[in-house]
Amino acid sequence: MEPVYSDGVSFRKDLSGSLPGISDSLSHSMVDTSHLADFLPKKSLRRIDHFSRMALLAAGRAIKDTDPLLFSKDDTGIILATGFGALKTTFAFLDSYIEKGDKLASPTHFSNSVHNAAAAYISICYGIKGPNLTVSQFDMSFFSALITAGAWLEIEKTDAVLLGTSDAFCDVLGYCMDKFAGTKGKHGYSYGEGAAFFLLAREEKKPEHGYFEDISMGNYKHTGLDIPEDTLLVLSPSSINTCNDEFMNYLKNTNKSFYRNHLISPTDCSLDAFFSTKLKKKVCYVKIGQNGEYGKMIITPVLK
Amino acid sequence: MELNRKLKEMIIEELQIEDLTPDEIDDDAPLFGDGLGLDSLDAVELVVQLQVYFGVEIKNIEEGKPALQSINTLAQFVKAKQSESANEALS
Repeated sequence: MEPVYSDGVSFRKDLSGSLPGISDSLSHSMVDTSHLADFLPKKSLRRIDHFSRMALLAAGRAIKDTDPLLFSKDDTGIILATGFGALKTTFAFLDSYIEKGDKLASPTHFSNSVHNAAAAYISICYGIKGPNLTVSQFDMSFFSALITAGAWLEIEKTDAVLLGTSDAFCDVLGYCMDKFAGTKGKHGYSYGEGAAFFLLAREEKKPEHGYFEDISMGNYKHTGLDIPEDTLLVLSPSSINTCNDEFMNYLKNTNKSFYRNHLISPTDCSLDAFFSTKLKKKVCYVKIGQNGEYGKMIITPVLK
Repeated sequence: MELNRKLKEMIIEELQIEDLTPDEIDDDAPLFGDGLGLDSLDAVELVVQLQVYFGVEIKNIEEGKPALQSINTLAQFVKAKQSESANEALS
């Protein structure tokens, strides 16, 4: 498993004198994907946008990190989770449509703007032939993908699942989050982008990094939220800040101590999952969604 | 030759060909397959960009196939279409 990510903090510092979320500096890529050249010929990357390149880089690193005995290209499926998809490319396509009309909108931008482009590139570039799925459920995307991956392994649809996330930052997103989501300056959250991939297999194959012990989704407003006593609780903020405020009020009554992830992205929990394997303790991650929705995963690292 | 250069610059920019300069593209080399290595999505993008850059439209495959062979055939097509439009405007 390997992530590529950036928390965007340095970019935010550069923006102090500018309008919220709007700056030319933000149009530059935050994650450096130049290392993709270590995995794929440069020619094969032509036309592939930043969103898909992040996914390709993280997937390439995950494959490299995997025991070859665990990884058969014919029997591995791909599931990609994304909250926003290729947002910058989607806006570029819409701009070309608005400015030039439907006949002159860019076909290349359109092909990259579809949500499953990144997963398709992973399949084509790395030759992975199993089922291929892209899941988009805003803040719950990663958990929805995890549950699907678990089902695929359970029914033996595939021997392994290359599961990952990708969400890219762009200036329009920064503007919207500042203006509409109420995240600016609150709780020290910073915008980010990145991708992370994991190779998941059934329990009998000895994992190198860790186990997903429990994966679930629910609504704490209806059923509460069960956090096992022996776990460290880590919260991932919702992309909508009022949802975070509501959850903090709920948590006050439980007397549960917790750590908080300060990186905002619909799929930031995949990075949490990566970092959890570097810890020496069982961790319960909770991602807050809208209207009481949550995703929960308990990860036990393999101690080395 | 100025038109050939503009076509090459358009292809490099719009088809995101990072490892070639206009001078490295042979005017007679095939655009697709073994030559420049373009594919079907590039063909659709080229049709769109020809309209954006030069105001000429490839209306069907009968027009497109001979025009999209090389830089030289593309230049001939653009010139022919542009003089056709100029003649129509004068008449």
